Amino acid sequence: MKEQLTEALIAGNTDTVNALTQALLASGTSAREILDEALLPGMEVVGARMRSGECFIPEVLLSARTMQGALEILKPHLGAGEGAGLGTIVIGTVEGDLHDIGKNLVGMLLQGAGFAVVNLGTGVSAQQFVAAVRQHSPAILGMSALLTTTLPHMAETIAALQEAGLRDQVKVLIGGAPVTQAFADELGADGYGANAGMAVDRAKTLVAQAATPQAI
Amino acid sequence: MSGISGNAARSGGYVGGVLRPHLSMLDAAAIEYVHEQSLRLLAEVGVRVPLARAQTLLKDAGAVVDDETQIVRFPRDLIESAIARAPKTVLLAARDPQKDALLDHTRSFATHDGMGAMCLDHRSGERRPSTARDLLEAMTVADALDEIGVLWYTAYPCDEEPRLQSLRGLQSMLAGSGKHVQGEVTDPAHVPYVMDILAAANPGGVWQAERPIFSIVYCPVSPLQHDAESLEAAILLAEQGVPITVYSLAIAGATAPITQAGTTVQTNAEELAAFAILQLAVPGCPLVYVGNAGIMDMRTSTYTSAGPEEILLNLALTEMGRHYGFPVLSCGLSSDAKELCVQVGSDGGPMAFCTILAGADLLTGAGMLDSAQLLYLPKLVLDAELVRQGQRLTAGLALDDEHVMLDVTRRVGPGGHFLAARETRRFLRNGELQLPHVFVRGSYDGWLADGRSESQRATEKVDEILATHHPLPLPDGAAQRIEEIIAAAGEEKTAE
Repeated sequence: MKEQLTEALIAGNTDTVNALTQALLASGTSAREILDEALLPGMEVVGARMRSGECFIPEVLLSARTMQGALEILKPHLGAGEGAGLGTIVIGTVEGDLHDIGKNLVGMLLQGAGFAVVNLGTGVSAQQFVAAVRQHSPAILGMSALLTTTLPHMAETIAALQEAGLRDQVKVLIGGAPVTQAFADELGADGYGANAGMAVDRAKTLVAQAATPQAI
Repeated sequence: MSGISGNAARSGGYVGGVLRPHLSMLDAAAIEYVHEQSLRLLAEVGVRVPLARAQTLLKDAGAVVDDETQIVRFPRDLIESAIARAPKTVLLAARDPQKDALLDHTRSFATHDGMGAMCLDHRSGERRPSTARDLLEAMTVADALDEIGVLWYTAYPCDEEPRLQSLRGLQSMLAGSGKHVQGEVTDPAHVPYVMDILAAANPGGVWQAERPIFSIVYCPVSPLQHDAESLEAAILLAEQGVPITVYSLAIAGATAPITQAGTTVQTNAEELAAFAILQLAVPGCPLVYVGNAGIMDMRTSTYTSAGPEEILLNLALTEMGRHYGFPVLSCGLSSDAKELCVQVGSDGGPMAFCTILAGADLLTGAGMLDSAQLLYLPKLVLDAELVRQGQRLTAGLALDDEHVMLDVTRRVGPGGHFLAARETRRFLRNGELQLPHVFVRGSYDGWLADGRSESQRATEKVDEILATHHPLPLPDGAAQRIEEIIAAAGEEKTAE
């Protein structure tokens, strides 16, 4: 049944995914096992197909939304602190910028990949980002901008995180059309995504790195 | 009809003249359908206008404004009176009056592509954030190219203080060319400084509303909304007589329906709504309709600026704008390619020719790679070559007795040749055949002996222009005055 669930998730068949998730729970399979052995592997396949160009963004979003539905079913059965799997990520478009299609797309794909996403919307100030990091203790903070004139707000947010003593507790991921790897390096951001798919990959790498014990 | 007789009666009534190709896709019923669907969208779905001043004007004019969502639903007569009220010809004046661009539907003026934040440095080959120098050089090169009629804020000066970028951009644009410059002002607080800079750059030191040397590109945010600050800035500038190009740039599949039909209707509706707001705020203000929209690449989520679907969108929207009688800006020359390659020409050339043949007044798209994100100056030179070809197309086919040359053919006779005929020399000198400047014709050996690649030839042309071309200088003292104005703007910003 787990293989069927994986296939249904890849196909974005919401009804089948919900039914199979409930059936697996009823048959005694743990929520953790359903997540780790059926759902997350399914999203891995979807992510790989997106990277290779076999799968289109709207199809990836359908699988991501379907994944969200299954997570809602599993949530009451997951242990405290287990969350959705990969941890929480807070995202927002920086102050002065109303453009949010790219950021929302990244948010939906991150959810699909197994992150719990807190979307702060557009025009988010440095202090609002800091407050959200304090409130949600995310593994990652993601910021986006389309206008070059609003890029400095990314630096302001990183400085505000430092001032608040939170910089070490959260990885910072940035993106948007005018953002480059060089800009991310200059800013001291931990990662940069040139498009939605790359942002998700980078986010996964960042949490994997954080989970690996640092050599002393 | 024989077509070779000098006698109009014997040739079926043909009297001779220049035949110009024109490209049309929508018939009258289709135009009416798109118009009606657009009006339905504006009346039933509406547009978010988060600016109190505009909401009041719209309410007074009969629009339904939802105070909570700030969504405005437009009645038909509000849109149709704006269509009637908007000027049908617009002058984009130049500091050098000989370079004025009068948008009166008789020709297409090419502009830069934009607006990007990256530059492919033609000296080092490095891709890096664009700078004030890049912007200045893009202006200088375009100033020297006759085929580029209006200059765009093509790349952001990322090395300048971000809050002053639009003022620094304007400074570079005015210093780099005597042609009309079209920029971007999204901060209402910048408007007084912009007007001061424009006054300083004008001959005589005053802004002349009847000869606007500057215009802006104003972008509603798709789908169906406006940014309060940008709209406020646009209205303040319109009050000063600054023409506005309304560029909604919906992205099919993401911020507009995936179909060309849906994106055409939504874009048309967004353009008309912006026209209605601006005509209410400043009756009779000069506006340019944009007949162009983007497409999302569904494999990577990035913006696509070229391809056959783009051409279809451009044709449909340009025809709508022309139908209303507005000056129209559309796109050509633009490419999604990342380097100079076959794709650059196949993306940009056919799209440019279609846009020109559809009768757009402005043709944006010159000088960039990577979907309008990467400035590359040699491409500006190559795009000028494509524009020249487009101009030759619209110059048309002269079809009359003189051009048919039957008398000459009789004289030459079977087996003779036309090279010695004085008519051959005369028509050659009169532009019957256009000769490329950078593209290659002629023999293989000649090309081999020259030894330069296409990109080398274009790069050399860029270097030659930058070394030898001197744009019309600013009036005496203007450069220093502009520097002072920007310094004052910087101080005010710091004081905030």
